[in-house]
Amino acid sequence: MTQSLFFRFLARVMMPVLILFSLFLLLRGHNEPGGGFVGGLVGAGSIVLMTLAYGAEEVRQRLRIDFLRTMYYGLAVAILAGVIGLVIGVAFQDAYWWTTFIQGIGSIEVSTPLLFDIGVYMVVLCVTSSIVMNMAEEGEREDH
Amino acid sequence: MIVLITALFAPAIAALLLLTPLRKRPFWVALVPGILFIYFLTQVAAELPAQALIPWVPSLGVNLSFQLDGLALLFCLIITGIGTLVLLYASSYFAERDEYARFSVYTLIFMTAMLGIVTSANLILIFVFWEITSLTSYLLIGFHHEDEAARSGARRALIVTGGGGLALMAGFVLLGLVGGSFEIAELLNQRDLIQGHALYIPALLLIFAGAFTKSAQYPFHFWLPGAMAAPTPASTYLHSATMVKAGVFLLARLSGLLNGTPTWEGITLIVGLITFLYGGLIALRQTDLKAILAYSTVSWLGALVAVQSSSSEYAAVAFAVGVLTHALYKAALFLTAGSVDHGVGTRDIRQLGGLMRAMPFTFAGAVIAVISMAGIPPLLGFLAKELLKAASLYENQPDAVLILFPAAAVIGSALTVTVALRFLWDTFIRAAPADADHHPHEVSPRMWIGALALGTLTLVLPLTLPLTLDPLVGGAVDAIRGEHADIHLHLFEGITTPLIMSAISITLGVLLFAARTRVLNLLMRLPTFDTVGVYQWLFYRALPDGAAWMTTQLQNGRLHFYLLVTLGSAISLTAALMLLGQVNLTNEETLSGFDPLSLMVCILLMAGAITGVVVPTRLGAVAILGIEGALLSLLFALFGAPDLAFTQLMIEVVTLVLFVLAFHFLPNTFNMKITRRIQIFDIAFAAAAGLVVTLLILAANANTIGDSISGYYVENADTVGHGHNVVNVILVDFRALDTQGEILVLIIAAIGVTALLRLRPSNQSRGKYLPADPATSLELPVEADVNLEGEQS
Repeated sequence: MTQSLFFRFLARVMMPVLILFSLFLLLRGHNEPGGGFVGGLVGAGSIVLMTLAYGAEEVRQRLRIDFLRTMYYGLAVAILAGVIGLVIGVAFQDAYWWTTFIQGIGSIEVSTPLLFDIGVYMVVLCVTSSIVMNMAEEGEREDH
Repeated sequence: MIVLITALFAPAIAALLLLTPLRKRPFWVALVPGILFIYFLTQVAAELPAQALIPWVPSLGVNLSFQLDGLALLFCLIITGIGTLVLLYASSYFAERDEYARFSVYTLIFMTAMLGIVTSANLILIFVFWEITSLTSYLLIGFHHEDEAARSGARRALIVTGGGGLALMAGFVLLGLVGGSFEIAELLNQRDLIQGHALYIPALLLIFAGAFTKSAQYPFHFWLPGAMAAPTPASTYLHSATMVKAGVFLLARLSGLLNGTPTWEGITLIVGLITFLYGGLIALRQTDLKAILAYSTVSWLGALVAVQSSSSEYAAVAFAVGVLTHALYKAALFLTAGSVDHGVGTRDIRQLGGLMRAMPFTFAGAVIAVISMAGIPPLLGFLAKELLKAASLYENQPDAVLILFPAAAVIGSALTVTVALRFLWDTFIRAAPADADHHPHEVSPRMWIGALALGTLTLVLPLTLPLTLDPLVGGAVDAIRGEHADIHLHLFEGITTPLIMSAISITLGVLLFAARTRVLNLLMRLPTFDTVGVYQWLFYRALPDGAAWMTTQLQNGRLHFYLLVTLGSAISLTAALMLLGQVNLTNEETLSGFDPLSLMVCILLMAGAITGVVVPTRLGAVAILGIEGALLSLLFALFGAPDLAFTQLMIEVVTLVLFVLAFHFLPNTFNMKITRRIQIFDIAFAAAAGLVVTLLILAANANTIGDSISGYYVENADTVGHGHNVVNVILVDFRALDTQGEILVLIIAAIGVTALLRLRPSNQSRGKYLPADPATSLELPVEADVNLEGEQS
């Protein structure tokens, strides 16, 4: 935790930017550099930044996200993506693509690998954040 | 096909439904096995065998292939029939609804597994279901997990039957190797090849290990009495009627394939007979009602193994009737024992007595079951004993055992008679001991109806043989022996040798009962070699001590030592292999495409590495590590791997933050009190490690083995994978299973870190994890860091 006002300001400004950037990385990953793994890490970077600026306790209260729980949901999403392949296809993790057209945006490809990548994103973000916040919390407790 | 598979998995689906709000009123669950029982009854008259096949892992020959033949049908009827009664019984046995729901979940999953074992036509599938029964049995024995006896009993059962299960799998794999298939029907065509093969005996012994542990044969019998810590409905269902029969079932299932050699005949006969007699003797010594029944179950399982030493028709008939009979009367007796426990509050036979009047309906069920167990005509037990003796007489055995089996059959049956009479007399008929202080009351109808129904069945079945047992047993015998035979059972066939033998054993049993005080005194003094001691020594002494010794040797908490051991073994093994193989280190392409920019980055990296070693403060060291990481990602970027570079950079950031956070717990400077000799050794060691790794990379580059798979990925990423980013297509599509494993590892790491940080001994204050010795002080932060670093590949 820091008392530096500038750093705190920077962290607040950067947080939505980083989150957006991480989602951008996640979505474009299939064709350009990026993907769920690095996207998750960038997303976790925003949480880490906030933790360093405001302390784990406050971030936990403000965000109200149970990272330990959400990472299981991420795993469930990734497994679900595989099961979809099993149900409508032949084997676990068979990939399927659907192209939908949305007025004003254009055609969008939705696929089970994308769903899988979203699961990876969630797991990486939550695991990294929870580890860092746990460590930070321990440090804060020792300071008290 | 659909109906059969639905029937097999219906109990498991019902168990899933119990996880929904339906568990608020769980009493419908007894309907599930009840309906299945009726379904299987209709199959008695139907055309058998019914088959169903769904490919599972066809490349390994593993299929969900099910076959409902006569043998499977017999077991299915027992499993679903007794399952219905047990679930009905348990609904009154468990006072709390939640406990009943939990019990039902385990029991229903077990039921599907058990139905799976008996109907599987694929060896691997049998193994899978086999292990599920071991696991559910573990959960049920440890049902009252706050009780130490329940926990140790559950663990013992799991170790013994689970270990046997592993042996079984090894045996199945050997069979599959020899026969070229895991499908039992296909293996049967290779019977002569398999029996003549050198791997036949190892496979047979491993399969025996699986079957004998499951069916509690001597010397593995000891887990079954320990399993009596389970709630009585579970004991009734798993440990008398169904699961323990899985072992003898497996022998019957594979009899057509493996039977007929002296090894099979000798081992089944000897192990079976020892268990038969031993179980009967030890049952007499017990005072707990459930222990008495457990040992008598062990005894009868021994008989069921012994009859399978032959492949004659007599043996098959004796087996089929024996399984059914035992399931009926033993389940009834177990339910009775549970009712007595429920109505009186104790199961100790020394405290019991005179329950005849207090619990008339329970008594009625017990009487019929006991008469059946003692083998007194005209109950089903009589028929089973009769057939056992017939099988013992009319086998084509060598002369040496010609007298052995019949004699053992007579003595073993006599012991059963004594045990049965003692159970009935001491619990219900004789007056209660004067000092006994209890007020027995009759249990609810849901509890006594089960025993009474089973008892009635043992009374009705022998009187309606042509209608009921002839088709059922006939079907089972056909399935065991692989050829059709017309089976006509008769209760009386005139004065035959088996009848005379039965008369002898009943007389002997009654005499033993009459002289029971003296017999018991004699038995108590009889030294018995109990294998529990061996088990206790192995799993409570030898294994933990060995593990503790190894841990203190290897995990001594000194990071320096860990690095020496891991790096030392890695580089010495690699170097030895490279020297032995005399590998080429260079080829013509080694130095081609070498650009000055990457050379510069490399020089910076090396300079950083050296600085990192000599820098005195932790913060400085971490800063340099961060710079190293950044340089490394630059190198990745130069080599055209932007994804890797980006990920590496992010990992470096997170690692750096973690390090900084961990510094709360660490002194600021390193422990520099190292002698010069150690320093020189460390430098030499590090140089050697660096050299070997360099040589390894050179060698790997110079010697390409086969085509690299990268070409395939690059070619197909766009067309098959619908993506231009090959790395990502590999991660989420081509090798998504790997990624799934990796994120699972990440989750485990997060749980581990949380547990390490939050869970601590209650007298330890927060943050005080580190012993005073600074040599060990790096452990915790490194652990968290390693988990992340290991993931970035």
